[in-house]
Amino acid sequence: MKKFNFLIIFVFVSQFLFSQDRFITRNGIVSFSSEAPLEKIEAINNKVSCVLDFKTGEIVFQIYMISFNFDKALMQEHFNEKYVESEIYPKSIFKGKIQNWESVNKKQGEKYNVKASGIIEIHGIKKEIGADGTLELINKEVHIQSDFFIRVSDFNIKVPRIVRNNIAKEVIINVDVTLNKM
Amino acid sequence: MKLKNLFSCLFLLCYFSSFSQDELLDLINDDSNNNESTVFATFKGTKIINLQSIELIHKKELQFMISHRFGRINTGAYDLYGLDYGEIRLSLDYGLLNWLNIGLARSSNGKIIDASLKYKIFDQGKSITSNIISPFSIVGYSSVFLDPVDPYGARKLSFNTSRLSYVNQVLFARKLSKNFSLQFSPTLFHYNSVQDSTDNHDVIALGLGGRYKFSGSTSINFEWIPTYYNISQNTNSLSIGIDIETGGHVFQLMLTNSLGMNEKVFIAENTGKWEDKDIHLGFNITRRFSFK
Repeated sequence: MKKFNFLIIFVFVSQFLFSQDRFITRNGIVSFSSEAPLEKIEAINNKVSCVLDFKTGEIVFQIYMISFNFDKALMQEHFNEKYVESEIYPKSIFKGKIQNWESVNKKQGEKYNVKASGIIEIHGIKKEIGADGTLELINKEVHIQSDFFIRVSDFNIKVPRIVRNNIAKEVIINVDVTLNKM
Repeated sequence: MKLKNLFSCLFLLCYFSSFSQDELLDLINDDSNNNESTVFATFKGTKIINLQSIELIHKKELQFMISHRFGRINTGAYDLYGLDYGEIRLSLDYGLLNWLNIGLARSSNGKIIDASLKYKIFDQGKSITSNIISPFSIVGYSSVFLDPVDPYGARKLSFNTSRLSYVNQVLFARKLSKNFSLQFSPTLFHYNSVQDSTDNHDVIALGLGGRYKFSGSTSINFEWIPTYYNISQNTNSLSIGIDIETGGHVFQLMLTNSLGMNEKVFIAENTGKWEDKDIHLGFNITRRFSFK
């Protein structure tokens, strides 16, 4: 029994240690760009939350859609009102895992190519997704970068026919986050 | 003893399983500062139909609005139900700041020139600059009207301060749901001079307007402007319309008993009666340009 109590204490302590292995940020950057024949639309969000479990390679992102900044204020209003409907679906979430996390050699100052896969939720629609990116450890910070495409129609975002040439069918998403130890 | 161990094991199992992505999500999931964010897009355009809406144009945006009202429907087939005639109002608005717009317009009806100032006092929801949570968007609108038509000289314009009149409005609007918004616009209208000494210099009006959005880009709008202390034969403006928004344009189509498109005419000098079919078909077209 004593052994068992010890085990429980060990688990609690290890959990505490695990939590030390989490890296977090609340001001990561996610931007997107849509290149259509008539118009290039870009927006940037620098209030992205992200947390990485360094033990398991599990990674989660959360984005408030209303925090995307556009060059043109009217575009921003239409993005929130008509397309992503931020009042109903205020945030987008990615829950996933970096693949082959065990084989990633976590050395300081080296850049690794990684692939994350998981489920992304935008506009209330969940979809499995995989994204390539890089991971780098600099001064006890984890720096993650990634580019990937999403298809607007996959997320039930309706584009009226009249602006079909203004909004691209596929949008490039750019992720750039620097995580600090929790 | 064995049972105890079993419980402990189960407890551990549960404990381990809570190590999941959901738990990670909980770490970054604090809604506290995003709960009551500012409400946006209460109306599609800067006008509901004739009345100003609480919407302003943003900083460094220029809006060009062409408003047109055809003649009265009850003129019959001879005038193609009013389509042979029309009045126009051209207006330019500029966003000096996100909360301050200036505007200049001219109407063909009465050749009236008006200059306006529109300023946001509160946004519905949480204010960015303070901790006040306002149940309404509140906007002030002030405009001065110059009526330059010389009553004694044909085809002559005269600029005389006695021919000035003013409107001051406080607009209260609430976006009740994603699709439904209502606005209440108490209005004070003042004439510098009146024709008859028994006429009032001031007219009070209580504008009421609203919209119901039935798709992302289209809404149905209505407004009614009861007036008090007005000249007795004047009527209250009542309009119904549709908004169609396409990127930088807003098209507004309406049926209204007001021929005038500035506050001086549609609030203080409106004469059309719905019951007599003094109805005008009309439209407003806006184009917004961004100088950023």
